[in-house]
Formats: sequence, structure tokens, C-alpha cells
Amino acid sequence: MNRWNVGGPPPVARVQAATPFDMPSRATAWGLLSAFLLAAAAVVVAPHCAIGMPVAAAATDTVEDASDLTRIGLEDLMKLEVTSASRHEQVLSNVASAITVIGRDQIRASGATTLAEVLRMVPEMQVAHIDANIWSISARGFSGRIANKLLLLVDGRSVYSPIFAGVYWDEQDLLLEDIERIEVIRGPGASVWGANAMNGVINVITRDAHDTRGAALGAAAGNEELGGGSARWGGTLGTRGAFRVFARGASRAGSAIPGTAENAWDSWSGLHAGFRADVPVSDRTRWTLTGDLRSGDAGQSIYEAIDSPPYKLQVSPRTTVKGGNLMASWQRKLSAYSDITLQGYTDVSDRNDDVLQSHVETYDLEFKNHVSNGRSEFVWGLGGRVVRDRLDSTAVLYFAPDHEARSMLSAFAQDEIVLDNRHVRLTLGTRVESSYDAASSARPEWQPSIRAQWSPGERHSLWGAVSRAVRTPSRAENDIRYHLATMPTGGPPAEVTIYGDSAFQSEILVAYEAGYRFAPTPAVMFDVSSYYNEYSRLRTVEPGSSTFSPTPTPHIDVRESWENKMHGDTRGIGGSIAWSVSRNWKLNANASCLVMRLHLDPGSQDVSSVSGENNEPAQQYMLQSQFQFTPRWRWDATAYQIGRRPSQSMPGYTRLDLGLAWQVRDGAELSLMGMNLLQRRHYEDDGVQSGLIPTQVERSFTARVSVLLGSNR
Amino acid sequence: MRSALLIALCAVSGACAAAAPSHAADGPSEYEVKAALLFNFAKFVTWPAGSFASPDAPFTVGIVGDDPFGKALERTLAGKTVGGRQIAIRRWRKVHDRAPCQILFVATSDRDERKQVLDDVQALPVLTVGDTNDFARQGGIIGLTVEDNRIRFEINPAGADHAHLAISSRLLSLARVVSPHR
Repeated sequence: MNRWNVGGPPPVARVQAATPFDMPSRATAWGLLSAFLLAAAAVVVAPHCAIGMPVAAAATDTVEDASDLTRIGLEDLMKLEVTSASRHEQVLSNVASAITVIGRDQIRASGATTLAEVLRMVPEMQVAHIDANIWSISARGFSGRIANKLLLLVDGRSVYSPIFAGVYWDEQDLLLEDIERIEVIRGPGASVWGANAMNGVINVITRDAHDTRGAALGAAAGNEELGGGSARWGGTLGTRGAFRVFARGASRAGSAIPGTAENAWDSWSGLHAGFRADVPVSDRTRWTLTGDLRSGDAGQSIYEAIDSPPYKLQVSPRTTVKGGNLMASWQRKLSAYSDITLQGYTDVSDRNDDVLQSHVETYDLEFKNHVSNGRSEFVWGLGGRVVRDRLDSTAVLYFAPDHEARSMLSAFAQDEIVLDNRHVRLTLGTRVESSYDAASSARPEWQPSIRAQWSPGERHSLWGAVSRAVRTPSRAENDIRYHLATMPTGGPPAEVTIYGDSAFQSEILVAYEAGYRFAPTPAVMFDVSSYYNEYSRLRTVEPGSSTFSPTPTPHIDVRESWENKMHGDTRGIGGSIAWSVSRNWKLNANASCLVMRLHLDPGSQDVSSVSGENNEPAQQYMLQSQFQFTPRWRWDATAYQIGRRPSQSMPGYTRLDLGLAWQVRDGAELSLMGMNLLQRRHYEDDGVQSGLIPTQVERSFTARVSVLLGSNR
Repeated sequence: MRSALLIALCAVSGACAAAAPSHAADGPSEYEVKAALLFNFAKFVTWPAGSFASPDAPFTVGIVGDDPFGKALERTLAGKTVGGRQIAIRRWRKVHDRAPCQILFVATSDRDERKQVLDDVQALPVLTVGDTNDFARQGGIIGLTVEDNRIRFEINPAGADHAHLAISSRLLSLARVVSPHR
């Protein structure tokens, strides 16, 4: 845990590797970001300190008078969370895609302490633990340690890594209590969200700072979740604004390598601090500022290729991550019918271990205009992003070039048209993106979609969609040289190295979707979605030349490269039922089926990609009960049944999580969660595809306490 | 065995739920907040001169159809005044029984009846409020929606103009502005 060094100096080795490249050194970048965050924090906190007392008193009044709602201002009234049986109405009436919205009560009911674990409850999503800090997560297939077809955005900020194409879930250490909701769209969201929103998009929306005034403290301890604590403090800014600052630290236990007493060294610890400020400066204009600093330390066990027998070595490298970001968003209502949003962010992310030494800076600016005229809702926008990286060589890989700046420009437009007296809604949209780097020119990618929705009555809604989405090449696919393995041959060993290629192209999806929603009563909502996805130009690993090399020891150089020589389709169906049985009891259930059929293009000599990707459970089920059995006691239960993964030796599994929470008094809660109660331990992924030595999910218990002070919940 | 566990899980939850008395969960109920919103609408909308029969006539909030508020409306509005006038609450089961009022909450579940009410009052200085799907787009003036467990509202300014009601810009700034379908 003494590895936590937020904003600390970078390792000396990195500074020595300086090149003529004109980007600031890591030390400077970190210094700049820290200065930014400090300045922002000062801006946020200073006005509060000056007028702290009277404002705090006013906020308390509001809370005390909560029984008389007419004394609450209109804005605050609209922020009050209400208990409602008809909350699905919006979803039912307006969205022509497969969307799941996870609210605060469902996050709480899941007992999850990480975003990855929360996503288990979403239909059509594949979530599996590989080790204690690495998950394989995707939607509608193609999961893996770094699944490249799923986009994750936190308050509109992309956290998809352009280096290896995918999300590092261990870095997404969010304060779950401050999440307002998680919107998961399965299927392409590319016409709005852009490239890599191919099989799905996850939007994490954190709570408005007006909703988190007061202080909140939380602590957790258990046999897997060894210890964690969080503190948040929020207040008002001037007459209308609000802010919060928070810090969180947590530590999770590692596991034993199954069948041995050996430690897999997959423990994890992290620290995260940040702020959010929401400032409506007038009736028309509103600012939102957010910033985070985080650091983490994660372990894993892998087999590393070496040049002499036994040619592979079990190593347990530690990964250290450091990151920070700052985002500003400005919204203005131009008229009653039109508004504009301008949003910019910068993100710095370092990830260092024996395999990868990376430093990535992202600068992103987006403009959006929304125009409503009753019969249509038109949105268009422009965006620009610059990603600058430095990827230092390690024992097993290097990048050529080892530093690069890539720019991306994008534009999108979408129109939702209401036809036939509101029974039919038609949504047409497209996004075009192109990326530039020093070596190559613009590669425009068009990602159109057409969606239609028909509501024959208020209780039924049918929708269908056709869309095209792309998954753009990662930096690794273009530029990496990665020593994958050394294989004994009888003669000199074969050293297999994979070469990235600038000719590697985007993967392409054309998706056909249809869905049906039905609310027989306001308390029940059925939602079924189905899809047929046609993929082309999927990534394969193609063998290249084999040459004998006498130095340093005699060996055969086997050169492999990534090419786009696989195609295929996936089809599936996902259904869910949300039923508010009574005001105190809610049930959620879902079921998903998935069939993948992948084929190599003629001429491909790939031997691993078809089986490697065709690796999803054919069926999975979830049942969740959220039960408030007295005003102070709550009982939550979630059961999962996950089928066998076809390419893996391990069986399917059933998992049961239970939680009991006691509200000791208003604002103070004690809870006990038991996770994976049915089995002492089980595998969820065999790790073969990821090259990791997997560990098992163990039965675990976590006790938590949370206290809200002077907060308006 | 697995399915048995799932069944057991359901059964246990169900048995407890059936046995437990009904409790209000955290937070105010949906209709308590909606009642408070009606009070706010009364403050942020200006009715034309001559809307009231006499200087001491009450400010009348009417509900037509199946009243969803229960006691929430009385509890929230009891003893309150709007522009110096007492608030009176009146309920009508049937569309035809309707009498003059300043705010009319349209709670008829039948779409044709709803359309009839809205047509009847569209030229009168009556603020029509409802929470059925797309209420404001179907000719009502303010439609209430629930999004993320919070109450939001849509305003149809053309409808307000037609009824000679002036809606404050503050209210408009918090609303989603919509136009009715033709």
C-alpha cells in the first residue's frame, strides 16, 4: 500500500528515455495537470469558504422543511428523487435501441464495489472475472481482457484506451455512491458516440453536485474487499452553484493459484480523489467542471516468453497506474427550442509494468447543438481529439515509432422525426470520423444508422434499426513488435513475434436490430431485443516469414502479423422484466442467448482467432430482488446462472449474492454483503485468450458503514 | 438444484413481501412532488384579468378523472394561498361534470375523453396539466414526466398562448418545450 504516490515523480528510467520529440516530458505533463487541478480546486473551494456559513444554513433549512414540499424551490423540487412505479415510461416511449438504465438503488442492491461487477446485471453483457483486478467484459460477444468493441464514457469522457483498443477496468475505480445512473446501450451507438461503440456503449453519469451537498463517509471491510474508505464533502457555490470534493482508497485481496498454495499476486489497491462543480450562472447558462486524480497498483501472474528452456516463465509483474483528468462543459439555452453544449477535457494516463510502459495524453473538444421544433429533435455536433503517447520498450515489446500524436476529427448529425400523430418515430443519423498521424492521411469512416419506432398504443412499442459501426485500429495493431512466445522445435527454438502493420484496417459491423417493449400495467415492464450482426474485416493473426538467426543464440524468427481476414455473424436475443411488486419490493429478471459463427476469409492461415473469439456463454440468466421489508431494513438478492464458454474447459456456474442493510437512523446505514455464496470458489474465465494465469472468484463477505451528515441525500 | 435455489429465492422474497405491511420507501412520493409542482405552476403562471368570478373567489385546482393524488393534494396545498386567494380543490369523475377552475389536472385514462376535455377548455384561461404520455404534445399545456425517478415537465407554449396564460421565463427555462401535434 505504500506504493500509493499520487502525483509523485515518474520513474527515473522514463526521463532518461527522452527523445527529440517535442511533447512535454512526463514530469512536465504531470506538473501541468496537478497545477490545473489545484487551481480548479481553489476556484471551487474559495468562494465557498468566503460565504460558507450562511449558505450551509440555508441548505439545512431546505432539508428540515422537506415535509412541506411547497417551500422547496422549483429547481430543488425537480431534483427530488421520487418513488415511482412508472419510471420506465420514458424508456418505453422514446428509445429505439436496446438500452438498460441502472439507477442508484440497483447499484446499491448489487453490492458491487466496482463498475465491472455492476455490469453483471445487464442483459446481453458478458462479464467474467479473470483475476482479482482483471475482467473480461463485452456486450453481444467478443469479450476478452481488453475487449475492443465496447466503449465506456464517464460523464462524456472516453476511457477507451487507444493503445490496445479497450477499457482497463482496474483503472475505473469510481465512487459508486456518486453515480446517478449507468446507461448501457447494447448494439451499435456509433452514429452518435463514434468509433468503437460497435457492440455497445456504457455511459456513466455522475450525480449533479446539487444532489451531494453535505458530508458523506463510508468504510468497508471484508475477506476479499480488505479495506476501503471514502469521504465526500459538498456545498454550495454562490447562490445557485454546488460542488463536491471526494477521496477514496481501497484494497482488494489477491488469490492463490488454484491447486497450489502459490500466490497469484493479483491483489489491487488504489486511491482516487476528485471534484465536481455544477454552476448555473443564469437561467440559460450552466457550467460543469469535473476533475480526478487516481493511482493504482495491480498485480497479475502471466507466462512470459524467454529464449531458453522451458521457454516460458511464470512472472508476477505489478502494474502501476496513475492518471488524472480535467473536464469543463458549458451549456447554453439559445431559445426555448435550441441549446448548445461545448465540452472539453484533458486526460493523462500512465500505465507501467514489465510488459507495457505507456504514457498517454488526450485532449478532446466537442460542440453540440440541439434544436427541437415539436415534430423533430435535431442534434448535430463537431469534435476533435488529439492523443499523444510515449510507449517505451520493455523486454518483450516495443512500438515503432515509440511516440506518436494522432488527431481525430468527427462530425455527426441526427434527426428524430415524429410521424403519424406520434405513433411513429424515425431517427436518422450518421457520424463521420477521420484520423491523422504523421504517417498516414485521413481515413474517413462513415457510421450511419436508421431507427424506427412504432407505438400502436401507450403500452406497446416496437422498434427496429439498421446501423453500421467500425472498430478503428489501435496503436498496437499498427505499430507494435511483441515477442509472444518461444516454442521448442527440436532444433533451434522458434521465437514468435507479432508485428503491427499500418495496413491494418478498421473492423466493420452492419447490425440489424429489433425490439419490443410492453407495459401491461404501470408496475411491469417487459423488454425484448434481438439482433443479427454481420462482421467483416475482423482481426486475425497471420503467420509470415520464418528466418534462421544465429545471434544471440541460434533461433528461428517467426514473424506474425495482424490482418483483417475473418468475417462472421452473431445473433442473439435478450429479454428483461422489471416488476414493482409493491412499493417496497422490486424484481428484475433477464435472460440472454448468443450464437456466434465466425469464419476465416479465403487465404487466411490464422489458427486461433475463430476459437479465441467464439468464446461466450450461449445462455445467461439473472434474477434480482430488492426488498425494503421495514422502513429501516432492506434485503437484496441477486442470482446469476452463466452457461459454459464454448472454447474453455471450465463449466458454467451459478452465483448468488445477498445483502442486508439496516438504516440505524436517518443518514446512517450498516450493511453486510455476501458474494458468491453458493460455492467456495469458481472460475469464470480460463485466461487462455488473455495470456493470464486466471484465478477463481471466492466466496466473500463485506461489511459496510455509511454516514451522511447534513446532506440532502 | 440450481433451479430449486432460484425458486427458493423467489419464494422467500415473496412470502416476506406478502407478510410485510406496506411502507413508504425513502423520499417523497411521486404525487406529493407533483402536488407541490402544481403549487409552483400557480406561482409562475399569470392568469388574465377576469379569470375569477369575484375578488374573493378561490383559486381552484380541479381534477377530472381518476384522481391519482389521494390525500397528497390536500396535505400539500392546505392553507396555502395564490395571489392572496385561498386554494380550493375540486374533483370531477366525469368530463361533463367539470366546472370552472384555474388549473385542471386531466387524469382521465381514456384518450378520447382526454382529447374532449382539452378541446373544451383550450380557449379558456385554464392551465391544463397531466401526466399521461406526451400530454403536452397532445394539446395539454404542461405535461409531467418521470425521468430517473425525478419529475420533469414539458410545456406547450402555443397552448398557453391560446388560453391567454403568461408563463414565466423561469418556468420555461426548467421545462422541455414542445409543440402539439396537428
